Amino acid sequence: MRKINSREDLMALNAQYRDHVLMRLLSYDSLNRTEVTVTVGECGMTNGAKDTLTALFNEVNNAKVDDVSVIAVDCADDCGNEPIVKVIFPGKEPLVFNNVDSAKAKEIAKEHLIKKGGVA
Amino acid sequence: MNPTRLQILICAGTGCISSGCLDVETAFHESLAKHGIADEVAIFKVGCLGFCEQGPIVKVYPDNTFYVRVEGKDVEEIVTEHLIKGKTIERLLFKDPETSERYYYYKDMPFYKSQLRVALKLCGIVDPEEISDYIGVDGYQALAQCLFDKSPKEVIDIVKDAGIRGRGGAGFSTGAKWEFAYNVKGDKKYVVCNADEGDPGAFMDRSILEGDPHSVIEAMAICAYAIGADEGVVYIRAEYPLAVNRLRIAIEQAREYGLLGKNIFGTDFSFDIHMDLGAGAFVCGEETALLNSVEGMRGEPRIKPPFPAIKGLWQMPTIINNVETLANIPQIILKGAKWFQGIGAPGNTGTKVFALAGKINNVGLVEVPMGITFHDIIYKIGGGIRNGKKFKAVQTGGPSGGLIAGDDINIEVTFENLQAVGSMMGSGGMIVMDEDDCMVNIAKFYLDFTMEESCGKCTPCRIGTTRMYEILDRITKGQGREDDIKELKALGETIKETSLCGLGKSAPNPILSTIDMFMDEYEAHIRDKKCPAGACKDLVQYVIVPEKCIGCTICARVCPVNCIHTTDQVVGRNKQLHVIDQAECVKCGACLPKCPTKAIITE
Repeated sequence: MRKINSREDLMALNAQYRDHVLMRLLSYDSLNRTEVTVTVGECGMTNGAKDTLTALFNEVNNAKVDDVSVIAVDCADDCGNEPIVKVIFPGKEPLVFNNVDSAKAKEIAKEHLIKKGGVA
Repeated sequence: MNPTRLQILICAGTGCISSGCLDVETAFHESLAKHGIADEVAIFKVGCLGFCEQGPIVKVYPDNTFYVRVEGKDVEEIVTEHLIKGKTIERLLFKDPETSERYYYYKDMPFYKSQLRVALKLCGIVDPEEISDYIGVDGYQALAQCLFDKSPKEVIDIVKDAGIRGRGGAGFSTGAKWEFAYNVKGDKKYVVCNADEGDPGAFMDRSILEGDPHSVIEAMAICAYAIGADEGVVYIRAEYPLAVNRLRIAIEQAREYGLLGKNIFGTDFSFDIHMDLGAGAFVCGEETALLNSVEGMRGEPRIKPPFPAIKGLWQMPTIINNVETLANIPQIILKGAKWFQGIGAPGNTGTKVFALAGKINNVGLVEVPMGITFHDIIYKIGGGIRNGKKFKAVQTGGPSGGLIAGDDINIEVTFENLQAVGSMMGSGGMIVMDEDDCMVNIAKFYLDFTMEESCGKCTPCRIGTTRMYEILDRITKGQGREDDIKELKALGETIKETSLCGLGKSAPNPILSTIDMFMDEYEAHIRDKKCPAGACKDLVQYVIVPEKCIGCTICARVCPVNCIHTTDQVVGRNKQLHVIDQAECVKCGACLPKCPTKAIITE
């Protein structure tokens, strides 16, 4: 039983539950979101795309960046460079990174997404 | 609760449940477990996404892919290809029937492009059975804002400034209504939510309660605070089991969290809601009949004034608001009156939800800003008329409304414009008719409904609608008389003038409106004994054109009463000409579409 006894209680619950629905809300108003794509084709997966994906997702999620979606996409047919990470800002040229492992993914998140996301 | 990387939304409105979305859900759980990724993917059942024609609908987040007509057998492919490998499954994307273009994102689809979802904003986003989702999207913050930062008068002023008008039919200012109840001194006041949605073809209130029940609960609490009430009633028809169940869950969860009950947010404001199930009588959507029904009496309207805001439930001041009206309130409080004023047309602010039905390509639930034209709703959002047929008219306002035809479809949708062309907004049912619909028959259909649903209190409505129905019935059977139209008009006007409630006052509308606009069809029925649309069975003959018949026997084989016989006349490649025996024909029309040479015609 989580009885709400004050406005502060409500706001605390809001903060707690927000993550859970954020993805759905964000995609709904998707015009201004930044998309980060990770190729998860066969070559990508062999080269650790799964770790890359998880690392990106966790970084973005833990930093509570509001306007970034991490999306797994199909193979880019560029086997030597997979996993490939693309950062697509709305209305701008995308940034492309080749052979991204989880360490590099964390860097990308910190450098381009979290600062960008305006989180203090 | 850790957010998962992938979320799957399955539309679980009544429409998609009928199309089998629960099997899809089961299949997802099985497939995810099989591939060992059950903990990476969250599955939610959400409220109506509106595109009922294409259900069951499945959305995949975060990439926001919109799959239509998903069946249990498609799920394995979605899991292995899309969720694991990131490949979109083209064949499950929505395909435009005219351009054959496939759409990845619902925002690009013409059906959604011109829509603006305010009342339906959270339908299809939050899980209606989880209050945590609603709290996560700033739910109940509007209520908190009212209780802590605003006086009841300030809340009423915001609603009044926003200019929202009742979405249930007549379009009375919601804020003004609240003010009436606020100004009445009294210890006991009530807030009633009218969820007795009765118009044939309208299902917006049901969809809101199924998809986002908490916004209605929050709005009722806000209204209660504004007028000084402590008890709420949701009057909902028992025919809506899913909505009833989800609302019950929502009320229980709100109580558990202390958002309903005593001393909400630790303040001295207390409010609780209970549900009252109606038996589905159309007249109980009329507010005073609704109050009678809640009090355990027969659902018959009361004389107004006094209006319910002064003397309502148990003779206490009562605010009765429609579901859709209420669903707008929390957002008006959070975003302000100015924001709401910016949507729609002057004097008609905000949006309106319409249930598109009839001969239209995209049947479903749409929400549009007020002031959009019917033409845009029917052609841009609705995708035009089915099978390339010709548009004839659109019926709005259900059995209380009228028809809009011809150039009138270019009028902007506002309460006043609709009245000016002889129809009304009503709850927002919109039934599109094409050249095959007979207007006399349509008028008869609606009158059949209101005649059945008349509570019987006022004689003109009880007897008058029956007499009108009899006249229409004989017209459609080829027994119309020369003065029938005059009599229909006289009866209609009398019923409108002398009935107590909205049901009687508006029941003749569909007839008067069709007479007004399609006089030629009435005359054809009465004078020539013909139905130009070919819909009235008694006036139609199915005939085989001898010059076109090739003697293929297909028609004779599909005829359920074996009334198509062969003759000695030779046609085609040494075959026999067929004729329809008019005495035996039951006019089912089964032969008509089957004829390969289109030799069968109606006359």
